Amino acid sequence: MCAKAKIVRINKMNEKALLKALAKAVGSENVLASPRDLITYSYDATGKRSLPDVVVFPNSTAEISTIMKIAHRERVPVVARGAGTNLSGGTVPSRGGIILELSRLNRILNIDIAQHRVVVEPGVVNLDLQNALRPSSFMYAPDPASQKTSTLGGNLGEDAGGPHCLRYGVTHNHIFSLELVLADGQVVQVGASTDDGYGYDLPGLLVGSEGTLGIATKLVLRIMHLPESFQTMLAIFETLEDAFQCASDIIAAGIVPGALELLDAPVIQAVEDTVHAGYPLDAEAILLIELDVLKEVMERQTQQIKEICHTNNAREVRIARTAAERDTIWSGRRGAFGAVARVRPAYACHDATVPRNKLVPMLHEVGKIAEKYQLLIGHVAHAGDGNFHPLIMFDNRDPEESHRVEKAGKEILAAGVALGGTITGEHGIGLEKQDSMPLMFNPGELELMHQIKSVFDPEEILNPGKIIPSEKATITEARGSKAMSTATSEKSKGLYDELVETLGRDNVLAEPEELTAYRIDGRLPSLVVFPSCTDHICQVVRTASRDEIPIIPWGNGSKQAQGLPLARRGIVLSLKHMNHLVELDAPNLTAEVEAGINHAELQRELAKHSLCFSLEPEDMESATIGGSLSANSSGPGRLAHGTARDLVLGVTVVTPLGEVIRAGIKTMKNVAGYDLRKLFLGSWGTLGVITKAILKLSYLPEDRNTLLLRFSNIEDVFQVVRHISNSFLRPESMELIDIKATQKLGPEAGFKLQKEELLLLIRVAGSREEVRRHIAEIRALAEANNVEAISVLLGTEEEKAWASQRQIQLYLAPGMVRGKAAVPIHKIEDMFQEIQKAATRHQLQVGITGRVGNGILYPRLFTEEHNAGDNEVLAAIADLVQGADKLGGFFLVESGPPEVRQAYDLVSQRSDYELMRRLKRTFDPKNIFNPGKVARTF
Amino acid sequence: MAEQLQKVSEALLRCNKCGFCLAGCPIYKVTGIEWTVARGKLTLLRSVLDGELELGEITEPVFDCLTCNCCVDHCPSGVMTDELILKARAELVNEQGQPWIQRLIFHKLLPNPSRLQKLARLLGWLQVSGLRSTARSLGLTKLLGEASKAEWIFPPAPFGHDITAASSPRLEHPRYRVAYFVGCAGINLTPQIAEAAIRVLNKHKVEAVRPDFVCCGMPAYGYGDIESTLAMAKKNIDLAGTLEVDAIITTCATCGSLLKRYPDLLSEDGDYSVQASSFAGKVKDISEFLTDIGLITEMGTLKHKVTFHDPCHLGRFQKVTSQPRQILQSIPGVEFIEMAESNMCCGAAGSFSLGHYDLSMKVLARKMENVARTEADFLVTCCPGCSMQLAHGIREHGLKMKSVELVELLDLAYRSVSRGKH
Repeated sequence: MCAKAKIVRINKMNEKALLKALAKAVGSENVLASPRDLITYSYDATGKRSLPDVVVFPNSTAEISTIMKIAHRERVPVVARGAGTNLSGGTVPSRGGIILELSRLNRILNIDIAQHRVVVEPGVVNLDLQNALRPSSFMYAPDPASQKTSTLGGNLGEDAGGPHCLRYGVTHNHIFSLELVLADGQVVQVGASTDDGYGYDLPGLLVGSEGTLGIATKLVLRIMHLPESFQTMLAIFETLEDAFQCASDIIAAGIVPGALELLDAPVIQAVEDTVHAGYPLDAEAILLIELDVLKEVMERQTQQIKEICHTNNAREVRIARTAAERDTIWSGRRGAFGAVARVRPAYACHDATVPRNKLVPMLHEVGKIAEKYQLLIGHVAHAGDGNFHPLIMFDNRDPEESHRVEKAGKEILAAGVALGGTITGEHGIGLEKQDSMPLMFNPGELELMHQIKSVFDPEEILNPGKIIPSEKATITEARGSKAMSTATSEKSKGLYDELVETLGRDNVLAEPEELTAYRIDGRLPSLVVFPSCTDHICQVVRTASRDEIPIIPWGNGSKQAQGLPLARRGIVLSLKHMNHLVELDAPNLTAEVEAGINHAELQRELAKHSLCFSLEPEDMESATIGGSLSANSSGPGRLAHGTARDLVLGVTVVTPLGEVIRAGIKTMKNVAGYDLRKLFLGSWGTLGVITKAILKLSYLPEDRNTLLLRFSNIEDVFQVVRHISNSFLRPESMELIDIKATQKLGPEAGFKLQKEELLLLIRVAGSREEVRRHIAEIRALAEANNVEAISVLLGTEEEKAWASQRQIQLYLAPGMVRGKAAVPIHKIEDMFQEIQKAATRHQLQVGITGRVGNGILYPRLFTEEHNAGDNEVLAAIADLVQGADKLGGFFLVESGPPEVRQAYDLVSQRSDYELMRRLKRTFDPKNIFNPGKVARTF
Repeated sequence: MAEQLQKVSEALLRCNKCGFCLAGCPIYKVTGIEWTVARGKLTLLRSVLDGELELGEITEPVFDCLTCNCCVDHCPSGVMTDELILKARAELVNEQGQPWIQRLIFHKLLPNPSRLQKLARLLGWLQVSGLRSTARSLGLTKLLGEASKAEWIFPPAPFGHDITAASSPRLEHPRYRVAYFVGCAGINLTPQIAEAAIRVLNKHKVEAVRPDFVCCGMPAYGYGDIESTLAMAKKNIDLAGTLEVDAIITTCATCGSLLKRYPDLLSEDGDYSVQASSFAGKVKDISEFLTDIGLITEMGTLKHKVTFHDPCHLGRFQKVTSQPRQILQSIPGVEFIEMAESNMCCGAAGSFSLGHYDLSMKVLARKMENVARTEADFLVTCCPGCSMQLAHGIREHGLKMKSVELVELLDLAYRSVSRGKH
């Protein structure tokens, strides 16, 4: 099949002409096309093979753009490739075409320690970045086992994980923005390099899309301070069950180790043959446990872990005493996949991920399958997050055995899904797991993925034939007919009657006096409906869609007057009745809830189990979970815990076509298909209504304190914040409150303020030792920076302080305008000055609060007479939009009169606007879901 | 077809394409091309075995390899890529025959030390007499093809030093008696190093004899000429059999690495396999030997910053890495600075730099970047090939440091203490 089969694939252009065009684009020395060249770009680490027609080495974004233009014109497939270490067949050019080899685009363009960001080209090797960061004591958290060779572009394409992702998250938690070359050669910027963004989360969608949506040519990544200390332990077990149980117990004890890895006997033996990591050859399983915490915490946690190991019958727990010993222990784990090739000539590596408490049942399933098919299966697992790599070792020259391996593989995937897991946690779908996609997704969901693909790549030239199974025709049909049938059958009846018939008379409001409570920006909706299940919502949506009446999803209404005003009035879809806690899976640390559940009530319920959902926006007393997620609300805790994209594992959504889409499951990792979940988070209900969500929980911290620091100079505040950001300290929150923000509230706010004071509220949470260390160090830092007063608040005093913070953050007098400025962290002081200057220039009062650790400021602009003085305010906003932009960030209006809110539509000015618009049109062709939100012009 | 390769097809299967070899390969690092790295080469060898390609189509991948063994170091499934590559080279030589120049060198010159020396003297005379530049200006060196570009790598002719004249003095009551395997490069290009080595050995009351060993065989081995390699190995083993020595000392990492591999090469050769083992058992790099017998630490002070380049043939092949560092750190005044990627190949790789000058220089450039960052005064190594390449790198990259051999520096330290006393 080799050298000869290739030429037929290029249909539109003959091969010679293509080579000539490419050579013109990048220079002939950067184009390879001999059989010898093509064979070496026909495979990835799975061993699957298919020849490309040509291999091209671009040296710049511009060259990539030119190549894409050629490929787009001629409809030639393009497969972006880094080091080709992926484990899914993802970079195998299954339809031939161009291999776009990015390994030479390997420059680290910028290391910005102050802002915790790096800008890299896609060909930078993961470990090279780590090495470049080490002198500054920083790291890039995702550390796939292939990190010595795999490139960051490849890591992005696969949403790579790695041992340390247990504590720090996978690639998608560390990507801010991308420069992207689209299928037609257009170059766009997606995402924002500030902590906060706006518009749809396109970087979130692109992570893990396996090069099927675009070519990332620059990546802006988050870097983190290295942990202060490490402790690496090797726990040795006599049975595999004990080891897995031990891993589950460690997580259940509320410890989040840096890494928690498991290897079983066959793997241990293979590894010891090559790497000599010092693993005991007679053990049935070992756990590698790494703690990376503050020094003070180390001893107690080590002890705790030892005890848990022994409770689970560990034979021995060894502790690495030197860096060299630590390296040796890890070298075995990293070499595990490669080493099993010593046992049998080939291996098939699976990537099942199950809820963390399902590891032992999953293990038994795999055992049964191994027995059934008479196969040797070894195990490597990221046991801490339920990610499981059964390695089937076999001889690929034996067709009969290979066939058994294939069958066993399918059964393993199905077993994982049956236990609530995914077919791939971190390796991706590629070619290998396409067949199993229907285990995870229904035809409608697959069709939606197809449509997303079409938005980005209508000609299907970007890594075609990957991820989504190709029976497109049948899927489309299934979807189309379902939507149509409902629509036509009920066309004869009136809208109101239909809704009453579906929901019952009590659940449809139509009288003006009933509707006043649902007024949005002064306008009454046409109807309010209260569905009580997802099915109801589907029916309401289909009916509304038929009549092209807008749907306004409504939780508690607290955010209806935020952001861009609605363009049209429509049916308010209240989720009031959908307010249940569907499932609390405490051992797995997840909860599934209906979207209408009150955010604060949920927290109170979780607290009964010593659990919490770390997303705690200030308005959670009034907000619903659905509202918080749609608006991408965050609270002070985002500094430590991130935002919805980091804390929500899955959502169920009813789309504007009245279909139910389930995006994400309750596993910690899942890279099956496009990550639709990220599109819905923060999309303000414009792409669908979130009806359910699966939330990632954590244990309530052992200890929590707040430092209340009073300053008279803003420079001192930022100085303290900067010091903390560049230290080992990881406070949960750093909130700034300046005097003007509070004085309107007077004594109500609870802070007894003296004259021109600035408050910095710093919350620290964790173990007792951690909290103590934080308080001591922050106190010292504050004292060195002219702090006026320091109080350490605990118990009710602490509660009161945060209640006041919430009150201030939410306070909005009539006529007041609240905006949000997000800038690179080291520019926050400049932004603060910009805001002050703009207010002065336009004779406005301003009160500023801010999540200063994240580079976010919330100014409130007002006049003494509570009169927005529209022209002054608009002029000030214009200054701020421009000022923030100059600083590399953005400014937008969150709350205020509709005329002010609609003055700036930032999304429509972005270079990725067209992509967002096309996505909106794909999801919502009639533009009926919250029309006008996110962008007025969608 | 491809008999040699057929034998190793099992080994080829062990490559599961994980790509870890990409991490170390110096050539991949500078080219980014898949067929320059082990995973690609092994795939191509497989393709040849499967009949998808002719062996001749992969000549370049087979020869564009430093055989530095970095890939082997990184390979979790332990594929001995270097051996497979050498097998493929042997196969190519079988199939296509050997270029005349290689035949001349491997069959006529290397097995005959006196002929080699005569040639070296002739070349030296050409250099000194100014004919080197004449030849260059006339473009005569161009006749040598790519190798002509590499001409500047060679040091100036070593006049005033003649190792053939220098014989180790007989010592009274020596602690040990050793045979010194100087190596072709040491004899013909850098005799001053051999002189230094003999002084250092004598300082340790070690008597060194210098028997007429022939070439270790590496150049022929590297170009796939197994026949010549084995012939030279046997000559050396025979000669060593007539000596009563405690050890065979090398100052050339390349020679040492192959001498230690004689048992592998001759494993199927009845009598010789036993003799080869006893021969190889005695072979020691000088740094290894000195630390074994106890380094004399009475030395003068050398107030210098020093960094060390691990020759592939010493570090990876002989696993000698700590001894040279130990020796450097025991010289008073020396500030030892570890460079990044100290064990990455310098690109010399025996005669690789001659045949692949441009590629070799790219590999060297990466090495020199790491070297420059140390800001050392001395760049130390233990291999004449590396030394020449590194000296060339220092010149080309305009660095202010000197490339020296470990024994030279050690000799200097010993001599400066003697000077201090007088």
